Amino acid sequence: MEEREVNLIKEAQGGNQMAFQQLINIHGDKVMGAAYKFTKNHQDAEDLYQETFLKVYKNIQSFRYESEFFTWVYRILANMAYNSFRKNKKYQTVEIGEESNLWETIPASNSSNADKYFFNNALKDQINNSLLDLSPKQRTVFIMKHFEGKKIKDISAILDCTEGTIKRYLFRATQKLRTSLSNA
Amino acid sequence: MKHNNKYSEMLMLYFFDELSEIEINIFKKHLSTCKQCQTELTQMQEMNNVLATEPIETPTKELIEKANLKIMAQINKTTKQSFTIKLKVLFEEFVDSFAQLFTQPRYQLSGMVATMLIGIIVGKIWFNNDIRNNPDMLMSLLSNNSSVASQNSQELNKNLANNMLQSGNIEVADLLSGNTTNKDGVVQVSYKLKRDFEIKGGLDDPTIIDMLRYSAQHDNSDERRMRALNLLANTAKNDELQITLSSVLMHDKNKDIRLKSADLLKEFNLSKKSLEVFKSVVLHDTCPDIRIQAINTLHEKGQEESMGIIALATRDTDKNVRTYAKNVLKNMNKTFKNTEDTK
Repeated sequence: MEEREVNLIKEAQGGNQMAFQQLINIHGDKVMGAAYKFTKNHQDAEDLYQETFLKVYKNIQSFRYESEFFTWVYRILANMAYNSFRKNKKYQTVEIGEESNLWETIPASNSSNADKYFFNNALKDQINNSLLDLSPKQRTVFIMKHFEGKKIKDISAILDCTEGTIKRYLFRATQKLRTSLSNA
Repeated sequence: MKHNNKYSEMLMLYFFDELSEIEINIFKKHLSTCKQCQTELTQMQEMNNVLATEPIETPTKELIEKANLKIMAQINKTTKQSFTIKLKVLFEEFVDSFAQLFTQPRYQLSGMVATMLIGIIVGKIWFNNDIRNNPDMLMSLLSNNSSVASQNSQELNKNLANNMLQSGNIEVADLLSGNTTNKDGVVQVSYKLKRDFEIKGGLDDPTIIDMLRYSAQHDNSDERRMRALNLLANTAKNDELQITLSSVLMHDKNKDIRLKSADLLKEFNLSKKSLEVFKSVVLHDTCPDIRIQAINTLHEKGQEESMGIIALATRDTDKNVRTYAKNVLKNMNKTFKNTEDTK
């Protein structure tokens, strides 16, 4: 961890709100990107992002410098995402308008030229629906593994489960998605 | 090589790049011969292709700035929140984390056990405190719950009896047969309230004595009133018992009971009130034997002021009473004369 970041955390732990604001400025884009990978929805991602940082602020006293600050924030984010899956929390669907311009869409590198301009909304819905068919744990683990590229060992530490349990969730999630998406 | 679950898991780990080099070599060897693994791997790659077509969404700098401003505004608002709201939020968070804890299977059983224990403790506290002071609850419990241990039941009965005596509900009671004494001096008295009760205890038990005093004065049966007096004869000679016996002597309709009461009172150091009762009995009791007994008691207690009443008894309608009163009066006169001569 950089010395500047450590100082900011210490100041934030002492109640300095400006220091906390600088911390969220540093990690904001990574956290928002991860939030979108969990929620697959702009509005939900923004809500999850806010809730995560509010919880980080409340609990910053308990940060013990045993991991990177981002890793600690990511753990809070992943657990909040899991809780929202578990509670089947639904945020208001955002209207396509001014707010959606605040996101930048980069077409996937392996897409055809046509796909680069017109991503198949039907396919996107199918992916989202397939993910929604998974149990909250399966979905959280699959997203962390497939979309975030985390190692099973790290996922087990973040979600406080054994590696065997994570493998089991991942195995079942993959089986379900393989069946539902292989013919898409 | 034959396909099994072990290779299915290895396939998944191979696909997600979680195998060591040695494991990769073992799995690749299996993959080259296993058609099922080949098919599944193809399907997984297809799945991967579909997921990879999804465009990457990245937040703009403007979005992050806006979201961060919202967060800081929220933090400021929270800091200014009143204590009650903070407490409410804290409570909600506590409930939420508690509920989340018990969704994990390993804590579910301990949660159930904890709930049961809390129930038992609360029940025990409630049972030990409130119920003992509530006659209606006691009555209901004793009527419906046959599983109460006999020792507890006796104790509850006594508590009920005490409550009945204190609250004045004793009017509904009636003394049933019983009053038997065993070798240890334990008396068993049965009472009729809304149901039959049995109370066991020695003659030094205040509850038993209270119940016997009540029986001696108010029981409908002559036999039971007499039995109560016989038992009271073996209890401590205190003022309360003297009052009870005086009352029985004054008001009981059965002459044998009044006589017994007068007989028992002889053993007391009589109070002024009891002496007044005896004087009244000399003048008004319908039974000559009791009037004679009363004259005798007044004489034995040696009160000079009783002479007037005894003098009146010399005009009693009954010859025996008149004769007895005259003799007593003569003896008393002699005694007083001798006393004055000595002085």
